Amino acid sequence: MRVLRINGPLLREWLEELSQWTDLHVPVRAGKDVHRLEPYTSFDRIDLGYTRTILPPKKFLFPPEETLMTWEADGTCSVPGLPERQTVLFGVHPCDINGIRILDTFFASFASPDYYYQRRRQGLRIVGVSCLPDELCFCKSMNAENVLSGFDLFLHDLGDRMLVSLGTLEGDLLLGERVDTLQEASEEDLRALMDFTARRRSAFTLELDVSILPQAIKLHQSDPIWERLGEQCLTCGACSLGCPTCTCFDITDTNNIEGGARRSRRWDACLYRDFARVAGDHNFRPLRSQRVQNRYYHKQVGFAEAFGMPSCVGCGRCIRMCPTGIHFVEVFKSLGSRFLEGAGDG
Amino acid sequence: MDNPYLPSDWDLMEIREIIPHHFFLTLAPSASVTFPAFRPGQFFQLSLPGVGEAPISISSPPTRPGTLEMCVRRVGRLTGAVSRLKRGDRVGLRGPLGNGYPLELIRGRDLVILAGGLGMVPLRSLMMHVADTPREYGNITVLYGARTEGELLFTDELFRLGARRGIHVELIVQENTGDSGYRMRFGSRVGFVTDLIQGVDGNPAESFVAMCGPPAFYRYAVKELLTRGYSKGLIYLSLERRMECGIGKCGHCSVGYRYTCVEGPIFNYWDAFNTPEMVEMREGDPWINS
Repeated sequence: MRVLRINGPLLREWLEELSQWTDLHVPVRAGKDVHRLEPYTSFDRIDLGYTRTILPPKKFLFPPEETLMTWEADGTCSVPGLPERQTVLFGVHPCDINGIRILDTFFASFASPDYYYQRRRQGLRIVGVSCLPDELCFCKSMNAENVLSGFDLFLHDLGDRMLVSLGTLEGDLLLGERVDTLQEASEEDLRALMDFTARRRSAFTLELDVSILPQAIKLHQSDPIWERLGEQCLTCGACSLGCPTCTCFDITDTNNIEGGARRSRRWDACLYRDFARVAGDHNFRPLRSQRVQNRYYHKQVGFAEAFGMPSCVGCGRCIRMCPTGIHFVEVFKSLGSRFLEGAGDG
Repeated sequence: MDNPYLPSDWDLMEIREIIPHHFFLTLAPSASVTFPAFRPGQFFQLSLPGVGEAPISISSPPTRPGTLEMCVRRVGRLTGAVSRLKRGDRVGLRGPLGNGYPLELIRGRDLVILAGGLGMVPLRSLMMHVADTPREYGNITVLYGARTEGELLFTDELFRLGARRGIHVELIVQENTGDSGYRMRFGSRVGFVTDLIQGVDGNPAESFVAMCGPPAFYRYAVKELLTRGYSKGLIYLSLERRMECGIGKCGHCSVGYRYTCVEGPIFNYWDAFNTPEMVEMREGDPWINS
């Protein structure tokens, strides 16, 4: 991979220019411990030291609400267009880039790729940025701590210097003619990058052994922990809405006063009571404990069986957002230790 | 890039309330739409702008192309709106969706159809398909039960089919409310569909069983079928789930790691019973006594 040297002034100049011809979004501090990806207004508002944004970047590919089609009063149906400008997300962390890779796999699945996701994805460019973990990050355990692909450019902020990795042709084009003026990283730069990677790796405080997790969840379908979690969980769905890989949605029609109609989809969560309710009032998951268990099962076991990887990147948002303090890693650990006890190993 | 969320336009040729709250629809593709190839057991998302969509089984067989037949029970918002449609109205369809029955596995075998209640609707497609191509299949036995005789669907048609050589039809109701037509035609059989399994002719180990009904029905039926020597690999059932997108994206129909709308709704019995939640019944679940 080609790695180039960049510095603060060059970065400022580049982003300023990029904001002229793309829809550039950057991490901005929106309050105490609150960050968001927001449209670029000035370089000085960028906070590269952030840990996690409230919502993951999936909102750019799969918006909280999206119009699928509209009908005029005469029945003419049309699909809304998209802005022509590219969307560039600057400052995406490895866990979220891995989250987008999972979304890419999922939305392309089966015989019918998701038209609306695909067309947004085609116009989205990702500039990653390095980060350091806090006490809720467990991307290392989920094997999502690093990225080798899935970004167009990746900025390594090593403190004393900045390097940029080129991931794709599109990333190269984002840099423009500048790409030929930037110096190649030296051997010493690359060593510093590896040192940073190692330092970052040892900075994780939250870890779990995911290798036994799917089996533990599969074998403990009637474990009392699900009942307990069912009592603790408010089924508010914050964990799903904030999850970089949760993709469930609800399709709704609305009518307008002129006689037309609109069909849209919006984020849904499997924890909501009506999620599996069918006409005639039959609910396939009437109990909270069933819905909580289903969420864990789907993300760690079901998705992995269907797509070869769990739909979790260890970003820590679900832990951060849970109003009753349900801590996913603690749940996993509890199940894992029961598993070991059950197997007679301790 | 195809947009799988866009419905195609179909015209409602006929709508009839065949028994109370059950509406039988005949649909033809509009001028711009080609009649699609499909399999028995597949479904369409029926779409009404401003109302929404619902998954509706195909009730007619692929052997009779040109129009599609569907039967909906007026039970929710969409089916309520469907019941108010008039001949000549336009509706949207997306599909066919889902996997359908494995016809290659049924070919050459006797077919046993077990239907409970509205489960007869999708099975009618399979039944008619096999009945229309008798050379390719063995004998057909249709075992169909409903709560009362007034809730039995397609009785005239079943009566005619049952008179044909190689096709045997038995109907049963849970309570006999005394309708004379029912008694005259089929005898006063009262009980459950599963009671009829013991009387089926043919070699159970080589027969294909297609079932559609409520979850509790599957549990009893499978137990009875296995006791009678039917093969695990030849018992298939259809699962109902909430479905919105129909293409494995919205997540509502996921069961374990399977998307009912894509990998189902037709599942081998073993897969269905060995995937968490598929046909599970728990204490307090509303369907146990229904």
